[in-house]
Formats: sequence, C-alpha cells, structure tokens
Amino acid sequence: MALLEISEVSLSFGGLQVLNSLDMSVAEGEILSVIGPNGAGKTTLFNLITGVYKPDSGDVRFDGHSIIGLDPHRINNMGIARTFQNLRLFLNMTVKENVLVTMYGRNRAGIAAGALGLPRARREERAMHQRAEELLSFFGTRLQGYRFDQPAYSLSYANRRRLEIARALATSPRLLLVDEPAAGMNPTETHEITELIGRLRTELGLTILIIEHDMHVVEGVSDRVVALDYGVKIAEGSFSSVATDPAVIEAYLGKGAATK
Amino acid sequence: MTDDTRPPEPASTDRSIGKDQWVEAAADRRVETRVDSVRRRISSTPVQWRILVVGAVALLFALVSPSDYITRIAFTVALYTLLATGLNVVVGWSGLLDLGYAAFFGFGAYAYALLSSDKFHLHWPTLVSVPVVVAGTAILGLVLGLPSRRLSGDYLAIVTLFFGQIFVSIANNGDRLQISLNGNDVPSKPFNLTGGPNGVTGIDPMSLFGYRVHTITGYYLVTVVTAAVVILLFYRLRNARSGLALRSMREDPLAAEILSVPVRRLRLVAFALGAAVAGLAGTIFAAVQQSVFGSNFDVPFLVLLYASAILGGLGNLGAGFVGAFIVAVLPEMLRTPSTGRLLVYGALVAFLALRMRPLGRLGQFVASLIVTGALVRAILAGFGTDLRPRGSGLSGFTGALVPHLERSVTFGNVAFLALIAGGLALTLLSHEWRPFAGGVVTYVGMLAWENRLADQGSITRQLLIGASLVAIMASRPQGIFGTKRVEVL
Repeated sequence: MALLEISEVSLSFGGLQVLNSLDMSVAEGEILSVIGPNGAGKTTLFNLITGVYKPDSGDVRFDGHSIIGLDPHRINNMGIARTFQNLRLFLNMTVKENVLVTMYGRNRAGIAAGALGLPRARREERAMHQRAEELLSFFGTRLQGYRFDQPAYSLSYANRRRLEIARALATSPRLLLVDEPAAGMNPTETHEITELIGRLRTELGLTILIIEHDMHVVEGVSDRVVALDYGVKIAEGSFSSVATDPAVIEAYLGKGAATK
Repeated sequence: MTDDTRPPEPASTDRSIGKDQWVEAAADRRVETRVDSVRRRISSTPVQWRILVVGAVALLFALVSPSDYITRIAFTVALYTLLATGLNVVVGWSGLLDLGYAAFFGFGAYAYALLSSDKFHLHWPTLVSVPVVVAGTAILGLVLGLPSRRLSGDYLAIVTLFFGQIFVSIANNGDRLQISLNGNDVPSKPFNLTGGPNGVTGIDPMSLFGYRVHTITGYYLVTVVTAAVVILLFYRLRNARSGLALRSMREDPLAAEILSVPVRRLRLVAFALGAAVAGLAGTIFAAVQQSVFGSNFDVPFLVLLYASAILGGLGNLGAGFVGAFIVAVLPEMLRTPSTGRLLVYGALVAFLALRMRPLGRLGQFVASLIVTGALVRAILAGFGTDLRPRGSGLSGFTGALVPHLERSVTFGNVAFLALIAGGLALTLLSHEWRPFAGGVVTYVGMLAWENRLADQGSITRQLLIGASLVAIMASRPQGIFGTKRVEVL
C-alpha cells in the first residue's frame, strides 16, 4: 500500500486554480521527484500535504489515515517532515537548538519537569542532545564542534540548507518532503546533496518526496518522476520517460518545441 | 563516488563524510583580547552560579543598606527584575507583544488584597493566598491568551492593551457594581468589589513560616529570593524541551508548527507563564504597599516594565536585572540637583573621553566650547550682566564656566529651546563639522542646565531619563546584555 496517497485534490486561491484534481501516490521507501515550471503548484502541493492549506476537494491519506484538516504539528507527529524552499531556520537560535526544537513532538517532558530539571526531563534532554549531534554529523564536520553553539544566521547558504534537512530529520519522519535542496548550491555541493538523499533512504529508511529544478539531481536520485504544469499532472514515470515526454518539453520550452 | 576536492575519508570511528578545514582550524583563527578572555571566563561559569552570586550579593546588601529609603529602591529593583523576567518569557522568548502585562500584575495585587485584608474580612494565610492568586492569574493569562490563537503582532498588541485598560477601568469603578439578572428588575444593591478610586487598604503583611514580614528589608529579602528562584527555574526551562519550543515561536511560528511544535497551545502557555510571574510580583507589591489602587497598574507602569526588559536585553533573563536597576535607580539619583549635575557632567566627560576620536576632534570640540563661552560672556558683559560665579564645589566650578543669571527663568528657557534646535541641527551636519557644532550645543546645554533645568528637579528628571534611555538604546539597540538579532537574511 502506498505511504502517501493524494486523490482528486483541487485547490484554488480566489479565481486561480492552483491544483486541479491531482492524483498521485508515494510508495514506502520510494524517492519520488516532482518537477514542473515555476508556478506549476509544486510548493503548494507540499503546503497541502503538511497541513498549511486545506484542499477544496479531494483527499490526502498518509499511512491509510486522512490528514485533511489536521493541524500541521499533528501531521508532523504522524511522520511527515519538510524543508522549505526559501529557508525558514530559527536564525537567532544556535545550530544545535534548531535541531533540538523540532524533537518537541517526539518527547514528553512538560514545563514543570523542564524548569525543575527532574531526572525524567534530564534523561530525555541528554538523549535529545545526543541525537542532535548524531544528526548533524550526517553532514561531516561542517555543522560540528564550535558550530553547535553558533547562531544559525552565521552559517553559509549551503550550510543553512543542510541544517534545514537536519532539522526536518530531527522529527523522526517516515516521509520527508524536500523543497529544492540544491537551489543556490555549487556543482560540488549539488553532487553531495544527491548523495545525501540516497543515504537518507538507505541509512534512515525514509520515503522521500523531492521538488527539484536541477535535472542532474532529479536523474541521480529519483525512482519515479511526476511532472506538474498549472496544477495538472502532465506526466509520470521513470526519469527518462518523463524527460522525453512531449507534454513536459512543451511545458518547459513552449508549444512546438517537442516536434522540432 | 566522492569529489576530488574533498579531503580523504576519516578513520572508521568517525562517521562524518566531509571535513571542513575552516571549522577544524577555528581555534587557531580566534584572536582573544583581554576583554574577550574576561568575557569568556564569565560566560563559561555556569549560569546557576552567576545567579547565585548576584543573588547573594543582593541579599548582603540588605545588611549594609544605610537607610530604609535605599532599601526601598533596592526592593523596587528586585520587583522590576522579577516582572521583567516574566515579560521576557512572553515577549523575549515567544515574541508575543503582550501589552496587558501590567494588568496581570494588578490582578495579582488586587486578588491578594481581597483575600488577605479587612475588605471582606478574609485573612487567608500568605502561603495559601499567594499560590491561589498565582494560579488565578495564570488562568486569567490563559483566557487573555485566547485571542493569540488567531492574532499576532500588532493586532495582538492592540487587543492586550485594550484588556489592560479594561482592568484599570474596572479597578477604578468597581466600587458600585450592580447586577440585574433580569433586564426589567430593579438593579441589585451596589456592590463594592475594588474600592474604586479609594482602592483597597489595610492589606495584611505577608507571614512566611511563622515570621511576619513587616519591614521593607524583609520584603526586599523575600523579593530577591523569589526573583532568584524564578530566574533559575526559567534558565533551566530555557534549554529544556518547552523552552526551546517557546523560543522558536518568536523566530518562525509557521516553520515551528510544521515541524511538530503546537504553536497555538504554547502561545497560551507563554501567556499563562508570564501572567503567573506578574501575579506573584503583584502579591508582594500589595503586601508592601498595604494598599492597591487602579492607577498603580496603568500604561506608564507598563512602559517602565518594557523599558527594563528591553534595556537589559530582550530574551536574556538575568539582564532584566540591569534594566530594572537603570529604570528604578536613575530617577532616584536624579532627584537631587547635585547628583543630577554630577551625572550629567560625568556622562559628558565619559562620552568625550570614549567617543571623541581622534584627539584632534576632541581639540576642535574643546576649542569651540571655549570660544562659544567667551563670546557668550562677552555679549552678556556688554549688557552689563553680573557674571560672578555662585555656589561652591562642582557647582562653583561649572558656575565659573557658565554664568548663572538673575533672570534665569527666561534666559534658561531660551537656552533650552536653543539646545533642542541645536541638537536637531547637529544630526544634520556632516562628520567633520560635528565637533565644532557639538561644542556650541554643549555650551548652550550647560547654560540651559545651570539656569533652568538644575532647579526643576521633577521635569529635568524625566528629560534626563528619556535622554539616557535614548542614548543607551542608540549605542546598544539590542539592550545592554542582549545579543544582536538578525531578522531576515
């Protein structure tokens, strides 16, 4: 059974139809890429899955349960985490704190336990810190050592993207939504991100839904690709079949481009 | 496959995939000055120890305090510290602009007053009434926090400010409450709840573990201990699960919500926490004053609280103490003209010594000051004014520099207006002209001070407090002990 099932989902902002009766599903353990020109509705799709928007019609089911109308933090607790296209780190908190914050849903210690430093809370905090360091070590030494206690705003752009991923991982998701992980990265960094996404699946057993414009990344990581244009699914299948699909070429390059 | 540019994989014990030389060599790049090393040593001492040391010093102060007047000021500092701490949780951590905060303080004070006074002849013991009041204020905080589920930023500020005003209104008019259950019924006999403008008086002093607290020194000790305990608890909470989540809400509530933080619920919690601290402070306040009035909790008081939290550095719990110190002590120091004079000239000299660089600029400033002085004296002498200095000590010294005239009121007023105009003009001038103009403006300022302001204690006090707050915020916008924040990058 598919881990995430999106069926007949439509969403419009005023008169603008952003998603039009969209059907797609993500199987457990799969890496699925969503591509499409700017304004195709890719990020809107992510916002819809994470509960920021409610669809006008249709259903989104995660692990067999409908998640329409749930608060975003509940959806996260069920096992869906995401990164943001335009980076929404907690800039004035430290690198490690950024990762610790999002473990909120997976831990229990309440305000009183935290303030009084009860053994229960201390144990939990120790485990949280250990896990945070583990997650940050995913990215080599870049987010290690003295960087733990540096504010997130002091990080370079590429390191901020890495921290976004670490922060999403800290919620222990089953499904990870990655919004343009390679945007603004140089070729070396892009290459590394591609590798990293592969590792996330093999080492953490994640299912990954990824939006990406860099076709090298898409080709490198995807099991399957879905192409969107104006909120409609125009193609679906392996990278090579989607990349050569006339409808996709037309969406990117304009009418007639496919036949010439 | 890996990139050629990347260093070789580390030994198998290290599970990292890439090494970052820049990070590895961080320690070698660090240049440490003497100030840095002191700062590092202070910041590497555990926060708990720092709080305990400050708290212990504050407690010992009670022994050496020369008079009840001084102890009372110290008490105010401790109370404001406590209040600033609560405010820091709501505003500094959670980013909720709660302008009803003073009302929570007032609610705590009134609630204690009603439970432990002659008003209704309820004389609840302190150790019962205080927890009840704190819990009640926290619940009120939850209720007032409800709009925060829908509102944030400016809108939340408006709603909470409105609540604060309603509280003052109720306190001032609650002496003739009439309830008619049925619209046509004759209203019930007026019921006096808050005492209206006369407030509630005859409030019981606190009595803790058999000791009846009846001196200001006693209350000072109680407040210092309370503030220290509250700050310690919040410091612990700051890095615990809930504290981290609260702080993330100020940074990016949407990202926090999507990544597992129940933002709407935690906003209520933040309000309740802040309110509970304010309520606790309110009970102490009521017991010290032995009376409460609605006007105690109006907007000016709210502004004072925000000033102490912001001056110390929003988000830094212990720094509330520094802000509270400034807000509570400065007005008292400026009460007498002689200390005021000392502060003004001290600040002037300190500014010149620290900020007027290079020395050539200082020279230009002094030259311009002297020339202006000579000119003014020459003109005044031309009118046949008596220029002999009066007073002795510092005032005699400044009197020799700046003439104190017979008709000082008009002259001082003119000088004061000239000072304001000069100060504004100063901001328009380019860098190289500022020392010259600064000398002129400073002399005019001294004229205004000696002839008019120094004698007008109450007004000058407000002016100077305002000016020093502006100066502090201009030189350290993040607050004295705040950390610089980046909003959007």
